[in-house]
Amino acid sequence: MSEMDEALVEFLIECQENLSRMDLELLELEKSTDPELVKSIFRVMHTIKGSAGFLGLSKLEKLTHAAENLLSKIRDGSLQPTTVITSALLAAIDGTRAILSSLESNQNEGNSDSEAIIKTLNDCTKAPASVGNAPVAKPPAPEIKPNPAPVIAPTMVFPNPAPVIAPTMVFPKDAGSSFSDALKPVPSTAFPATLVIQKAPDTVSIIKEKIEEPHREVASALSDSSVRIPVDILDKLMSLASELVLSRNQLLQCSTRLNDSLLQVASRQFNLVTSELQEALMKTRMQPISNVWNKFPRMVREVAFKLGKQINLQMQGAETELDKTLIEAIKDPLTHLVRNSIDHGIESPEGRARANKKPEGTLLLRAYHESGRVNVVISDDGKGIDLNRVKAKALEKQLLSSDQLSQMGDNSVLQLIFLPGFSTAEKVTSVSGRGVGMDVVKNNIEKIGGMIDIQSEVNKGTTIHLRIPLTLAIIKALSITAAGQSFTIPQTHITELLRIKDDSKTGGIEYVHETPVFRFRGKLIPLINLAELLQIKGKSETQSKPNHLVILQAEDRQFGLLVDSVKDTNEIVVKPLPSRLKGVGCFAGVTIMGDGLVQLILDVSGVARLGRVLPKIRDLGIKDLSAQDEIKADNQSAGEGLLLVSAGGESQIAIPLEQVVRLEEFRPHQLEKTGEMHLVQYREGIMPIYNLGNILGIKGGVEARDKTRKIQVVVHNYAGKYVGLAVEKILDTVYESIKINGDSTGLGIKKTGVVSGKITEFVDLGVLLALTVKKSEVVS
Amino acid sequence: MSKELSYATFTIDGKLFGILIEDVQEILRPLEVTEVPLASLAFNGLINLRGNIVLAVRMRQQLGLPTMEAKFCMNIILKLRDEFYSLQVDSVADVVVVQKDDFEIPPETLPMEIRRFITGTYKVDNKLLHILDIEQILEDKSLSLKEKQSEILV
Repeated sequence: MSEMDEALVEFLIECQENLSRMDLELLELEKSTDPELVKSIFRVMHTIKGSAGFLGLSKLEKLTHAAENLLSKIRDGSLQPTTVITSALLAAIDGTRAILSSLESNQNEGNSDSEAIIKTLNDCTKAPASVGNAPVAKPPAPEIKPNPAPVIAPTMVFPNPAPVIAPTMVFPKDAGSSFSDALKPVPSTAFPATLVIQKAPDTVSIIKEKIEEPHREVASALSDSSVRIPVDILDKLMSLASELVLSRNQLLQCSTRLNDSLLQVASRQFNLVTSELQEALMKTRMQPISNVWNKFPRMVREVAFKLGKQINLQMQGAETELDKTLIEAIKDPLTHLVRNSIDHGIESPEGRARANKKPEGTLLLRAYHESGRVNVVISDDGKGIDLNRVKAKALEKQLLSSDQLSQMGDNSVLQLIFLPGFSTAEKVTSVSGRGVGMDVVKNNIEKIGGMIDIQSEVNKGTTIHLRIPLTLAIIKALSITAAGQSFTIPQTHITELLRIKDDSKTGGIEYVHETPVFRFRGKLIPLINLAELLQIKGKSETQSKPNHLVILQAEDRQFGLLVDSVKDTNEIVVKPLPSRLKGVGCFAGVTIMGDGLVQLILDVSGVARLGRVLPKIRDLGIKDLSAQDEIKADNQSAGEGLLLVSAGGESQIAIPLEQVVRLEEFRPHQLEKTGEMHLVQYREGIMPIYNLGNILGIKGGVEARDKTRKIQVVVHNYAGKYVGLAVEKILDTVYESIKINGDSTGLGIKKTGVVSGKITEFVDLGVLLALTVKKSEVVS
Repeated sequence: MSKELSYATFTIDGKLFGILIEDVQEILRPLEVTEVPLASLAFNGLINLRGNIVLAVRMRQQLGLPTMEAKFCMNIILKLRDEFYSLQVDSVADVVVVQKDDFEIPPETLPMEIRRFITGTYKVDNKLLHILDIEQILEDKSLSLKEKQSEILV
């Protein structure tokens, strides 16, 4: 057993847990027909089957495949679970157990007979009409149980123990007699074993129990080798350890004051032990992601071989550490995703040749820490996801109507693959294609507070991005102070630390229209004064100018944070921010420092947003910001972001980001027409919507467009009320140097200029609305 | 016989307030508080309670009374929906046992800032004991201006 494959051991431990749960769930199923229950059983069976396939356990795979077939019928609703079916499934679990225990003790699947069980399962699957009737009812229950027992019984147990044990027991009795004497009485008197054999048909179950006993011991011995500890106990230990550190600090202070040598020795010892304890506890939680990844090369090889594909698996950042619980939680989803990529994503060598790709497909796994999250990216260069097929499938499965589908954007269509029961694979293979995969993945990732994002381009490949929270993860962080208060910055965002010399002309802080910038390696980077940003008033004595600069990387942008002083780096435990404080936006969490005080962890992206280095509006289909390295000093719009929209005409329109509260999407039916105005219910109020195109005199407005498309609305705060401006399309947000080369071309247009190589009209929403809206019209 | 209820009582700006004794996790002497910049005025402090993060609620601020420094405030620790809160009050008084029948709705004369956080009042030894509505206080949605801004912008 010592040489047993690590993957196999893990599989066995996992199965033991899953099987006992499934037993209970199956019995539950007899009482109720909760669809969630069926799904849960199905998933477990699917997982076992999948793992069995990779580990090359063909017998187990066949058995579970048959059970899964039956379960999928029940899940679809084409079969109702009956006692017969339940018994058949329970028998399948027993069969699985038999194979597993054989695996554990002999490292092969054993010779237990699973064909009968498979046959029963298949019978159940095929005969939906006559459920519960005699012909089907007969075989499962009575036949299966006795079946495996006799097979194992005579061959394994009886011949062995009888002769071996007998002499050792007899010897002490007649110490003087010869060895042959001692052997003689054995068969007739001492052992009832022979009697049992005669009675075999009746006592099979008893024998079976006896046979199973040693197996059970083996099973528990294996499970005992690793102890599964509930996370909350680890959490508790963690916080107790930090509490211990505080007590230690107090004790150390006392001992120095009292100057008692005995106490000092004791406290020094206490100090050491505490530090070690804390360190050990911290380590218990962290594991490199390679613990999960290690099994992939083999799995990929086997699956690829089975499907006749050539795959080059690349792994980057395998040393990225994350919390044990998170590792556990992402293990199954990752396996599913990798399997999916190989099965559905990467084409066969012939298919790749047709698409002008090299025969070998690439599957890239990448893990890294960013923005206080662990990112795991799985990307392949396969055929990508065909949106039309996704739509067709959704129609076929009646998940959505064609009307609904036509209103959906490409990205929303892509999200459909996360629905339960959705699979675009043409045929169900043993690898995947039952439509369990993606919804399980999404469920599991969201359960741990993560996010899953999918991007796909036909013929280019598919990229799946998992963002997993760092809560409870331990990170390296730098302590800094601003206006007397300490904060912590995650180390991953820090590129450099600088000290600004007060009076030097070069290397100092320069100002571009009140905006502080800093010359950093020949580039100007924006600066944020942390104390000013957070509006902290420094204690009156410490009014020294902040002269330390922390160069930070937020998304694709670099900026400098001005702080008073830089302290030390620590490994800290991230704790979630109380829910009431999440709205503040520039803190990622909190941590407890060695001195027992709570310290806030800065959310670098949040700080950048608040400091206007990054746009305030996230996401919403806006393309990635074009990396902008230079900020020109002669540019009046430095630091001012622009939202680029199209209002139907040729030119693009730029709206200062400052004037944009939010970007929203509305369905046409949400708009109500009152007189000449369109109104929409928005945030417990009513918001008027104007068509930007109409206001600017551009042809083609909201009504003229396709009725089914969502309407993109820029929400502006006008005189304390929300006002919506419908636009044709949101194009981009930019922070670009702008050359103004034209005057106003119309009412409400401030000026024209070139942005991203296109003629752009700059509007000031305030002025524009003041010209258009009569004050009385804006009713809340 | 009417039912008896026990309240942990405390004073804020000379007035006597109480919450059900079952709701109180513990009462602690003044603790070191980490201020959260940009947070609302009443909910802006964090306390480490044996490794748990506790959000301090400045009761004086919340009730619209003149402020007092955290280092003089007593902490009444509560737990609501798995999160810890500390009501920061001036001083802690006795546990008071009252008859349920003596309960009265809050007097009209109380200022609105206080009245909206109070479920009712008991008369105790010539004094009035105001019963605080914990959920109303902790889940108060009337955010400060700063919070409103950041909510819109972020």
